[in-house]
Amino acid sequence: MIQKRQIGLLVLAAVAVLLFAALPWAVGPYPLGVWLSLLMWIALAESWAMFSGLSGYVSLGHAVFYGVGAYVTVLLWQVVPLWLAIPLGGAVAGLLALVLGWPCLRVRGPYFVILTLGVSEFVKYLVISSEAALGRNGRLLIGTPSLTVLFEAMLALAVVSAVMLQLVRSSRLGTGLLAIRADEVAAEAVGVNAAALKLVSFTLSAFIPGMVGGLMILRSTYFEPLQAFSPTTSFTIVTIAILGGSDEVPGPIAGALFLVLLSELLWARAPEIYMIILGVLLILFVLFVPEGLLGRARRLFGSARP
Amino acid sequence: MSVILSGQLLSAVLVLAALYSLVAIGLNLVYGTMRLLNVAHGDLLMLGGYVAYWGFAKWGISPLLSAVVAMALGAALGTLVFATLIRRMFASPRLLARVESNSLLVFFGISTVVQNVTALAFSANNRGYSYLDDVVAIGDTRIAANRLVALVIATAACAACVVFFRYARSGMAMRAIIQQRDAAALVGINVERINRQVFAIGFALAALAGALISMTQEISPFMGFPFTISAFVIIILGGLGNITGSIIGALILATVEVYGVAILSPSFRSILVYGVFIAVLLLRPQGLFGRPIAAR
Amino acid sequence: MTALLRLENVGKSYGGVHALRGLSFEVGEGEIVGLMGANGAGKTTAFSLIAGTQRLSDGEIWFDGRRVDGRPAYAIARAGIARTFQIVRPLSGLRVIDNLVVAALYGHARERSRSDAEDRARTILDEVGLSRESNRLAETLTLAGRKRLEVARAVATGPKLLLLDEVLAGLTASEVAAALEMIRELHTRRKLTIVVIEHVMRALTQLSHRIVVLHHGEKIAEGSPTEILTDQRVIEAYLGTKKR
Repeated sequence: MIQKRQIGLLVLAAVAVLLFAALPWAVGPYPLGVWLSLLMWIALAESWAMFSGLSGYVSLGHAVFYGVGAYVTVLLWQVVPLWLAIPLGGAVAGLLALVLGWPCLRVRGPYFVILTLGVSEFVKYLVISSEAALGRNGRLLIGTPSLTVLFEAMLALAVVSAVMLQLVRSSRLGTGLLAIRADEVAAEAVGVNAAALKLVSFTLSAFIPGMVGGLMILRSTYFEPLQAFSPTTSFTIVTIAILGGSDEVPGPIAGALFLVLLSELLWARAPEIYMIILGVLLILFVLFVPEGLLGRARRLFGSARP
Repeated sequence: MSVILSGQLLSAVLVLAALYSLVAIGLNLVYGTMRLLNVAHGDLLMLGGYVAYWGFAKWGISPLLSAVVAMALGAALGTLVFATLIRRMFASPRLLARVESNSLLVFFGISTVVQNVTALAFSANNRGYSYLDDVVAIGDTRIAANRLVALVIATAACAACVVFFRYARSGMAMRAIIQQRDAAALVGINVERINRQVFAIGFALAALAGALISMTQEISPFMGFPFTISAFVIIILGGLGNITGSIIGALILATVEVYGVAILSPSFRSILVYGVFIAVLLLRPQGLFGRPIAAR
Repeated sequence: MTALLRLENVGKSYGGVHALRGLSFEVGEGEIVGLMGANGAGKTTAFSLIAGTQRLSDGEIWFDGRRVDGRPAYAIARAGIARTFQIVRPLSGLRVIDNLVVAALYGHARERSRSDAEDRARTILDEVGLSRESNRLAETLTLAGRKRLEVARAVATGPKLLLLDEVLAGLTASEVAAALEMIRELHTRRKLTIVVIEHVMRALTQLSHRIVVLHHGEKIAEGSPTEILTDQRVIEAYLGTKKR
């Protein structure tokens, strides 16, 4: 049932998307790159929230899907057309999630968190080894698509990921995941097949990051496993979600905006200070503002949760 | 066969195991008493290493002396973290409900801050120094003096820990809390005070290990994480909350690492450690000696 | 009449300790059967085994003509067995009504649409007297409220069999009376079969058609409340023998 308020929001969102789509013709390459980053973080965080935000199983290893998508794209470079390579990257990431999720999701709580971290690092070192075995020391891509093309593709991914989160959240799957987050044992006692729901949402949450990884490797034109599988990516995703709010669509958008703003101010001059601030913010928000900026704003302005 | 039993590899195992034990005991204490997974533990080791490095590079102070300073600073930092962040977490019912996951995120934040503050202060490049570099021969085995000293001190520290937990009042109180937190409170143990000491001791042990390690290898702001992972593997292998189990776990991991690298190649070291980490978490989260825990 | 629930020689041991041994009893459709016994007698273990949160060491459990032991907890819930927990487990962070909506969407008689699930939730909240709390967060309820929620959520799955684990513990006398009334209403209106664990003896005897008595993991008696209260073995188990 769609209410007036929701129609208003949808119209607003549609207008925003159209405005974004027009950006490449309105701004120069540097600002466009910044907006691209914003869309990237939105896409990553919305996908992450689809699984971790809803189920409460914090994945600190989502960079692995980003990295796998990037690697697949690089391996298929000029072997397969890009419009196929990128989705394949996403598909392989999804497959990885399926294969990894089956054993890993049976581990609960904080053990799952450090396990995801360990898995991400493990895959990173596997790729490093395999690249070394292939005699490759980083890979350079020449003739990648223009920034405009990449930008529009990323916009599409950001929109899709937001839509996916919304659909999942309002579906029976979402209700089950929220129940799992609240109390997994109690949820199972009322018929929720926790293992299946977690696996499904975990797999779903991997596709977009895989494709994002592929797009970003085209942007940077250089593949290097330490960068592609960097834990900083995972850390940033989690921080965005916690800053902005981790289980509703606007949350990660707010968090990503904040983060990109901060990074624009600090990254070039003092990347360490930027990271320090992120770390401090993460601590402060976990302790004092767990509902994120969005949740806090809601409380202050008194709107009811749908 | 002679290669396998070579003094060279054995001494490497012992040194690594002794250092790993120090790190693991600290992590295990914090986990055993409060169920907190400190993913910043390796970064404390890194800090200890930098204290030793700075003492030597700037003032020529022996790292062995700096180790004491590092321990003191570690203890102070541990007390600070406990008093500000951890207590807050235990005091709020909302945070307490998911204290394990929340604390993990907080520690992750601390890790990021610590790493980047260090990188800011010292730059991200590797740092190293020479101290007690000369090679000592024990029988057929050649070992650098600094590694030998590290081994001796680390072993002594571990022994001191074992004695502490057996005979000291605080140590026994810690064991009581590890076994049965609520019962410990009921018999009059001031759980909060002991927990604070746990943090102080845990951080101090990591800092000590760091100072010792800085003698034997180069340090960098981001060197801590692999040690954290190794420490996790060890405490899971040895049983969460089981202090002597940590020492055995350290021996096992050190053996796997040293021999694995010797047989395969150094570039496989990370794959090996993380592989063991994943396997252990998936197969036996309660470790080889520990009580079954609700990881599933 | 074939029994709805049948336990055959059910046993559960941890290492060398037998929490339950050789337990057999049946529950017919529409019955309210009480499970009685001192702490540690094995009552909650029996519930855990029936509900699937723990595995049997021995024996079989049959429900509605099918064998259910060994199946995961969620599957047993979907088969038609709903349970409450001795220490209540509200779905915190969710509203009271949403607690029931989850059950209605995933339980035995699951609704296809969310609005149907919400309708069912509202009806049940009405029956248990929690209508006014339906938009509150589950964890903000009083203990009595949370106990009601626990029962309501179990009922919201549309079960055939309801396992109530000490739902009266911690309630005042008037709250107990109200809860008993609520249980009886649910039993009649929704044609539920119920197995109850209770320590409050009077409540148990008032509520149950039949009582099964456990002692040290074994069944020592079974019968109507009057029979049980006058059974020699039961009296000995609770009060000890005359001569020492």
